[in-house]
Amino acid sequence: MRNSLWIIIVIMSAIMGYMLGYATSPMIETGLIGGKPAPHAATGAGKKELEQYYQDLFKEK
Amino acid sequence: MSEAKRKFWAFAIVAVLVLVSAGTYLYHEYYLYLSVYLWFGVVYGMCLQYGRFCFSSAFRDLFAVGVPRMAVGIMIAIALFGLVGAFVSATGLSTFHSAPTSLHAVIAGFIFGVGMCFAGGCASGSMYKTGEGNMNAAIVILSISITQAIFVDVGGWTNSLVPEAWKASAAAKGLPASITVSDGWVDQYLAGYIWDQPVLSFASMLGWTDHSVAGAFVGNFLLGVVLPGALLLVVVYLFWSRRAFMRKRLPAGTRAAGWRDELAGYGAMIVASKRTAIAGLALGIAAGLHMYAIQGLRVKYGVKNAGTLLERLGFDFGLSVNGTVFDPGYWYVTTQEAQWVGWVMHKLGWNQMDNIFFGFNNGIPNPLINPADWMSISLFGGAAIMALLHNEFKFKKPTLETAVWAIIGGALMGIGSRLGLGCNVGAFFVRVSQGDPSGWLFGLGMVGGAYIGVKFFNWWTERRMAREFAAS
Repeated sequence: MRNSLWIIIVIMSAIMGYMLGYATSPMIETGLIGGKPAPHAATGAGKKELEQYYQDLFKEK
Repeated sequence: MSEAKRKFWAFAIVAVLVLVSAGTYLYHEYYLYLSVYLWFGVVYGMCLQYGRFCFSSAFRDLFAVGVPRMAVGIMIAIALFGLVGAFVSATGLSTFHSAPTSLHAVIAGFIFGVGMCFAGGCASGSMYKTGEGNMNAAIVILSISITQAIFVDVGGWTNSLVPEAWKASAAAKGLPASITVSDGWVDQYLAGYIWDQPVLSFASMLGWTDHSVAGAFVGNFLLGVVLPGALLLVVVYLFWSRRAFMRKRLPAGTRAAGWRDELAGYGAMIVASKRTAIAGLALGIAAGLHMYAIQGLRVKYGVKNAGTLLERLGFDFGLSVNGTVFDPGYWYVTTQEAQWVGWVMHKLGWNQMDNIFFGFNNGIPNPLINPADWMSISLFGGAAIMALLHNEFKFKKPTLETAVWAIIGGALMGIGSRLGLGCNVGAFFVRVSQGDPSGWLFGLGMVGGAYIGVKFFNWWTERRMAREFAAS
């Protein structure tokens, strides 16, 4: 039974690891993690607008 | 059930959840948002079952038989969750918002506390017990859900019970025309009273923001959780744990207890609740990661609430007038179950979209695409997986008497939940651990209610047994 539990935990960890990784990349791109946006995300006017849009999502109305 | 069968069913539950996640994700990536709720729900269910995480059991053990193990474990779990929460807040990724603070939380907690003792399980406890095959607990969940859905929409004669000040304040809020704020006790309670109460946190009371390091760790965690928690544990130690410990450590007539003995006793009390504390740590980490994952996906998809995603997917029925649905971004228990019933009632012709709870705040989306419902359904699954693997799964039918208590207790919990804007999880466990003083007020009421509930239940049981003995 203990092996079965560990197998289930490994399956769940893999799925949740994927989801957490998926959730991490946009936060790095917008600078929410790591302090400042990655260089490729900060170049170009369109990217800046997008970044501002994401930042505004966290502002209270 | 044989070991092979139990293993089969445990893996079958996991397989179904994997298929749902993978299938919906392949259909559209937005479903990943719902899958985050789904898998964290599994973790919550597993942790609850492993730690036997039931507030009703904790208070019953404490007040009826003087065993503090579970209550101590819950307090430790709150502290561990608080630590994780402080980290998440300090990084600016928390999805938590404090609730209005006033006396209402004490009253709501009291009603909830009485109810959970009558029902034999709190909201979260009844959920994991349902996952273990306990159908009495399923009745409790059903009763909580139905009561909430009715309570939030009842108008008529209850309007005459609303104070004039609430009516005037609610009318002045300028709510959309689709919300009939002048008809409904809960509507006027929310808009006319609750919304006028201060929203506080320990950090804000000290002049810090919740997202600053000082605010999150010193204000909300240290002063809001650790200090009051440690003091409460001292009270529990002195009243319920000390005597038994000293009796073992210091046989009669050896010597008087010193500071070392007291500290050893305090430590032993905390260590005794290892299983609940481990579950609490896992719950704390999971809840923190849950907030993180939801926040990341909100940034990814450019939304503030899952309602926008549902609308983009073509599901526009059941969204609130603000275009939102219930999407807490962390562990929550009772609101989504009320939504199930609200959705059914609405489909049967009872308009549930004209009240604040559903129509203005949470919506009543189809349960099949309701994010928080995915969390609740999978919570049952997670509890079942753990119970199956530990040979604790057993289908239990309720008796007429236990079913009646489940309905009465569940109804009281439903009313308490709506008055307190949450249950033992949302209004107490999460709020306390995130430094929201209203959580402590709800807890204060809940302890009082649990005490009365336990005493009443004991009196009732003894009276019934005496009658049975007399008749035999």
